[in-house]
Amino acid sequence: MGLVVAIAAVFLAVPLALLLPARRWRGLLLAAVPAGVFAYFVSLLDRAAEGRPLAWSAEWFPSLGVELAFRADGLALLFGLLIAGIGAFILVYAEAYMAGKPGAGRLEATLLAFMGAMLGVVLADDVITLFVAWELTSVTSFLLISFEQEKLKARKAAVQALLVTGAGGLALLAGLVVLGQAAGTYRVSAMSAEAVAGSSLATGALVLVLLGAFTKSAQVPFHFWLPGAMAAPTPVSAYLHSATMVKAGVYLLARLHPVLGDLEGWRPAVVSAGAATLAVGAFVAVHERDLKRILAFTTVGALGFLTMLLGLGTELAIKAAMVFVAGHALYKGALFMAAGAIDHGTGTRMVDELGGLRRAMPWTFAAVAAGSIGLAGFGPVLAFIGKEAALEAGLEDGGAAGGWALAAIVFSGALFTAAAVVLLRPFFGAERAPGHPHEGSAGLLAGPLALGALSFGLALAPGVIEGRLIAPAAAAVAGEPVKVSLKLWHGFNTALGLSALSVGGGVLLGFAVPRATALTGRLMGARWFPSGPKVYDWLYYGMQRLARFHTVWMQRGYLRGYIAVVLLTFVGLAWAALVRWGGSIERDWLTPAFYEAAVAATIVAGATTAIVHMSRLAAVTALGAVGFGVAIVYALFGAPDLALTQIVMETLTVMLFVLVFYRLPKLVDRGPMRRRLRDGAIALAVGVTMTVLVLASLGHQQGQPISSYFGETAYLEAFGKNVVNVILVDFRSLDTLGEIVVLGTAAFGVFALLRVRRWSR
Amino acid sequence: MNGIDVLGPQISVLVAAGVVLVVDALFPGQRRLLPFLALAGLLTAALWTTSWVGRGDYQTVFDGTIVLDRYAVFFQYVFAGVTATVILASIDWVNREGRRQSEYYALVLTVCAGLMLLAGARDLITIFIALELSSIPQYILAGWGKDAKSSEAGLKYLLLGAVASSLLLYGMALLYGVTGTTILPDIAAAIEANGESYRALLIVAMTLLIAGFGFKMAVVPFQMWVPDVYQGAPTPVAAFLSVGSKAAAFAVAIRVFFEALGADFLSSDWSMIFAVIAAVSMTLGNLMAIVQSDIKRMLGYSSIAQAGNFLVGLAAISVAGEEFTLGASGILLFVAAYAFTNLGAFVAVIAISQRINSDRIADYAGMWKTSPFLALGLAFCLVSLTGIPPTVGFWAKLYIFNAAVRADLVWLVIVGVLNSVVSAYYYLGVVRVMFLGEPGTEQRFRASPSIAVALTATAAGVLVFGIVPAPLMSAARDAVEIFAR
Repeated sequence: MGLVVAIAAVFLAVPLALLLPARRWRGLLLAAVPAGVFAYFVSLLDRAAEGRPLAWSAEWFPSLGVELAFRADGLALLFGLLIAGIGAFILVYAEAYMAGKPGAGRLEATLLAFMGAMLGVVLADDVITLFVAWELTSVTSFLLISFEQEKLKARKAAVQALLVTGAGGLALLAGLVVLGQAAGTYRVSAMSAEAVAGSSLATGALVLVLLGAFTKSAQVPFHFWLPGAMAAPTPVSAYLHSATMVKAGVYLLARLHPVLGDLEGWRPAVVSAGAATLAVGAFVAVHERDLKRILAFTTVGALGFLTMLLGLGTELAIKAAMVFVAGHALYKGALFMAAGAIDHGTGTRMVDELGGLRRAMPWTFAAVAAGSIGLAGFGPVLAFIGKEAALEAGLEDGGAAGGWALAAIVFSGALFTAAAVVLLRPFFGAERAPGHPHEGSAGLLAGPLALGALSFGLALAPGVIEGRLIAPAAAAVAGEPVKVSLKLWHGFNTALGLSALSVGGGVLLGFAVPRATALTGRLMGARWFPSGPKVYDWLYYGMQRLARFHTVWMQRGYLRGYIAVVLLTFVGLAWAALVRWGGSIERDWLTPAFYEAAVAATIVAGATTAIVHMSRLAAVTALGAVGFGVAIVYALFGAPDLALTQIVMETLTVMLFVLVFYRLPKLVDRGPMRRRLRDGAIALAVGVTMTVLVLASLGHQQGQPISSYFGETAYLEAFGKNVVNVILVDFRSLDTLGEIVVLGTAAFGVFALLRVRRWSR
Repeated sequence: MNGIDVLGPQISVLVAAGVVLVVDALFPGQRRLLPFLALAGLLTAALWTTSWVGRGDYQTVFDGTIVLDRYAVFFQYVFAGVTATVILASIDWVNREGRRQSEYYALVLTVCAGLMLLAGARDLITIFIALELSSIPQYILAGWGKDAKSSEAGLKYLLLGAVASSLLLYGMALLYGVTGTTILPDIAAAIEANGESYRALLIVAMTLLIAGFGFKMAVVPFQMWVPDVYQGAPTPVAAFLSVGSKAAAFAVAIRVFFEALGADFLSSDWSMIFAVIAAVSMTLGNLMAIVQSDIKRMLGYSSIAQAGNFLVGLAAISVAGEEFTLGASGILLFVAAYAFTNLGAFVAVIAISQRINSDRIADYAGMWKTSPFLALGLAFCLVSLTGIPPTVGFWAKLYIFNAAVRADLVWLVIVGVLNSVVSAYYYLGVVRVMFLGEPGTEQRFRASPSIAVALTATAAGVLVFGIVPAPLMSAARDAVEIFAR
């Protein structure tokens, strides 16, 4: 129950944020909510470490076995602590960042809603519960990215992010449903890897789930939305795009690793996606000049790093991933918030326009320095421990996957370091800035400094988290107990050597960045280069073009075309059925008598005349002849009453036609020959089909004709001598009543039309 | 008397139609009363239906042509609710039009009587008559507006409807010809006896029925009338068409295909046809919806895509036994969800277009500032149409896709999911325009009380069943139990 209360408390703070006045203490007050949740999660750590995590569930959609279920195991708590802890800092930061601007309350409210949704994602134990929260994060993040709605860029980025993550989310939904089907339950903690592996649906579930996770966590080739999302205000970028939302995909991979990790496709797919993302993210990062975009691409790289480790799936790799999740959230959160402070203090985020800020903005400098050491991954920071463990995991693996992972880590390690150097450059050299640089307020600095300090502190005293937090989290991912002992210093070993090598190279590269990246930058800017945003645009506008073309082609507005499509569909389906299943046509037809032949000839002649004659009146008269011919057929084959009805109807119709046609202009043109031939062919096809069907159905007369029953019982039961009358008013009186109502209604229509005529005069 | 009792709801609706006409003729000054008389008739029908829930046993009347079961009860509620919402949403529009008020309400009620009759019809002739009873007033209503576009809509709808009706009639005649009966269970028995010997004819009859019902469902390739008619017809009428007549087509299709044509060798064929139609409808409907700039046309195309979603339920039946009706119950859930959601969207569109005199999506810019209530209600319904939680639309989609996965139709689920993405683009595009765009005028406006009631009721349904979906679901499951085997 406590878990539900924790999530509900965050959501309940949403209206509070909207109602409170815009004062400095509002951020602090609101931050108290996630801080409280943080403290509550800390109190749950021991239970999780002992292997009896707090759980709660209630029936939600019983017929599908969907439950509202939450469970706070180590993995959930690791992410929950990051979300609540960093969230508290972000709220304080947001208040200072907006500095009384209108909409600050709205921003904080949306951040809180997002936070609640995110807690729902990581605490959910039922995959459908997880999905519901997952979609909520997509929607709230859409609102957050488009917060500065007057900017076209922000709107476009928001739509892009929503489409990519929303599309991924729906793939995820399908994947989770398939997974639930394969596992026989939607409860994550009750899913067994054997059951899933044994199901024929396993591969489908894996592919769809991975699509969902990859889009959310910005893996190549879906990575482009994340840098675009930097159009959001900095508090949003710092929160969503470093610490939380983008990690949801990684979280999902970790969460489902015990269930899906042993499937054949997992390792190659996840490792290659992760390694490619790591390399691409790091590579593009050094080409960027905007602080936030540099951070965005390094985040893409870091997400690839985590994904890759989860793909490897060894015990060491999992441990490394868990440590790095925490380490990355701390240093990247600090960097983003500091970037916002620089923007605030100088009026720009472009590194080339800045210099010598360390005197004017010493505290910001401290935060950026702490973060940069994390980014470079070399020094007494938590991220370093994670990276060393990852290198060891790659070395230990020995296989091709491990080799690729190793190469990717070393390559990107250098580029990350170069990016860190680029980030630090605005603080050195001659003082340079568009505006007068000044230090940020306490609210702006508290967050980055605290996170930066934690990044160091936890690395120096890893014992605080290794047993209580990292071990249970790693155990939840591995699906079995894991022993964790974190050490900052492992002695001189291969991993350290590789690390030092890549960092050293990175520092050199960092000083040469503008020159070193000139050529590759030009290459990436080339028109033909299939960069993510371009591919997205191609798809996006391509779909619109296709849709437009299709609509014009399909919905021309001509009734003739519509009817032709309906009829041709019918003809096609009917012939498909006849060819596939075969129908037989009775061969022993009677030879028609001469008068029967004459009637048939009349009908054919009438129909032909109706088509070819240019005078409307003549055509209608010819159509009348067809009707009378049909009436004679009725009469000849023993249905005189029907024949009489037909004659009356036919007369009336012809008269009505004549009355109406009399008022219409003369028919001069029937349209081009080609169209007439086409229409004729369609009509012929329908006619032939119907004829064949009638003939084919003749052989399947079943049972007694119903007429004998009516004939026998009409007088005995209903005391009527006219069988037809009895049928109408007695046996099927209800249908007759219906018909009367229909006719009455039709009369309304006629009446209404006549009145329209009168009004229009 | 039993038969009259069973037809009580339909009769009370028809009586209400008569009362509306008579009151208008006798007391022309009391026109404001008319919609409430109509609502009273619908309420009577709903209460009458409720009285069965207690007695609720399966029974047939009129020689088996009409049946009373939970399935019929479910749909009678749906139709009463839909009609009531449409009437509430029409009040402003009708008052503004000024004339022919009683005729309008009477026709709407007649449609409702026809739809309700369809819910319990179990005989081909009765089905056809009920279908015509509901269709002819709709043709008239589509042409009810004063402009040429409305007349065009009415005429197109009538002519295409006549073609569809004739195809349906051919199909029914063929079915009667080969089985010798028009009562659905008797048809099933006849097919059971020796149906395989005339399989081809049964399939042809089936395709004719699909064409006829498909027209009313508005699925590809029988959908062409939809955008023209939705755009041309008065908006309340378009709302009625998009929900009422579509739901009725599915109600009767489920009954016919499950009760009469449920034999294995047939269901494997029709489920495949439905699967293909579903995929094509979703894809084409969505594709065409994304380029629309008129919200009514957009909703028209999207309703084609939604019908494709419904059809997934008719396709997902290949698992025999207990699961046979899983897809059908999914359709019922979807129908209920869609009724709430689409009506809600239309109600908001009616209110907005009356105020801004435009149906262009671009003119919805900044609606959040000028009319937060309408913007929020519309946005919520559009989110539900996309299938995003926490709305009832999400559960409907989840349920029906789940049924498809169980029926080994993973490909169809993937098509459906891709289409949900496409639909998100245009549904949420409207939301974006409303919330992020700049309004042309700062002048705020309020919805009229009747619109407010209608929108609140539908949006509340979307939300409440989005959070607590279980009751709606169990109602849908109980309703289709009679088709289980």
